[in-house]
Amino acid sequence: MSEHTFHLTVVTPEQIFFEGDIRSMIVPGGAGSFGVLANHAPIISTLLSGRLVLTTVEGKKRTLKIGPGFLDGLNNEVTLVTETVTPMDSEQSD
Amino acid sequence: MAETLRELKSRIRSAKKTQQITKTMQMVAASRLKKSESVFKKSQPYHEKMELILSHLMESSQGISHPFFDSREVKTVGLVIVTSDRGLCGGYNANIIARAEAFLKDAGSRNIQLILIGKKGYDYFKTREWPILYKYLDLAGKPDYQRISDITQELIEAYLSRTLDEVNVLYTNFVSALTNKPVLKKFLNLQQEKEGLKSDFIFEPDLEGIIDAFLGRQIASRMYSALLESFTAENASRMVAMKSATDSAKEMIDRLTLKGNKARQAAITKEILEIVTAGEAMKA
Repeated sequence: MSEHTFHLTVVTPEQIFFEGDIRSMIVPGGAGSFGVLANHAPIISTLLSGRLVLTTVEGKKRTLKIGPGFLDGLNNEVTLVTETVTPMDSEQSD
Repeated sequence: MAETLRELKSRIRSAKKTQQITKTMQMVAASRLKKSESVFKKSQPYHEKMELILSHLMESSQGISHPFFDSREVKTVGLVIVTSDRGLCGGYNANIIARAEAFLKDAGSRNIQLILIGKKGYDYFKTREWPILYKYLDLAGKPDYQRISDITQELIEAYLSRTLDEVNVLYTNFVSALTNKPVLKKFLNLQQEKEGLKSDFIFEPDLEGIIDAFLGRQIASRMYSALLESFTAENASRMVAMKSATDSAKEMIDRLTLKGNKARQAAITKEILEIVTAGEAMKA
């Protein structure tokens, strides 16, 4: 893992939806939308249902629609738990 | 001759039919086991991550008050008993019920409220002395996360309204296809850690808000995992029970066939003997 990426796991009760290294992500936090980059301070946040935008290691953007959930980040190990995830048009910009 | 050849033949036929049925049920159970085991395994990462977040939250939770952290005097104990809806699964339900009986015996003066998941448990407990708070008989071995989340919500409400002071869940641990064992877990009351912070987490929006929103989901996740595990164990247990029924049917068929062969031989010997004796008598 290079120093500008971090490991993300997106899980739902049914499956692991995404697991891999990414550069950045924007999540619909309970206190407002926020971005996460590598070496983020330890954080636990609630998530509202909304749009999750990931930037992969290759620089591609992926957009996922998530239900309410939680985000836990510690030592470049970010976990996003939610009850529902559906992919949206991925490679299009919005 | 104890049984005529004809009687033996009809018994063999019926044993063969039974064997065919149990064999089919064994195969159905085996395929269901495969499916439910894979659903169970796939649900584990979510369960583990929820536990991880819980441990992070609990590290920082000193001084936070939440009904789930209260240590209250336990007057009424809720016991959730997970059984199957259908029978023919060996000792699966019997083991759970025996464990439940042991728990109820130990409960002493505390009030008990039963929450029954599965028809078999309901059939057993509906005529017993303990009051039944809720019963869920429609899961049919196919746990759906949303449904279980609703069930959990009802339990949480019962806890918050002090209908229940403690909730225990009795379900079956799936160790392997051949071994399952009933386990009892306390679900709602959480132990707050006394030690200091390990990492300085930022909490968004704030710790109380997160804990409030998180704990309900956390318990639903535990319940979901427990039910998936139970259903997997049920299928495994049914598969094993049907396999041993098939084996016994085979043994019975072998035994009856042997008996039938002996009877046929005896009949033939007797007939020859009669002809020979008659022939000898004619000569004389």
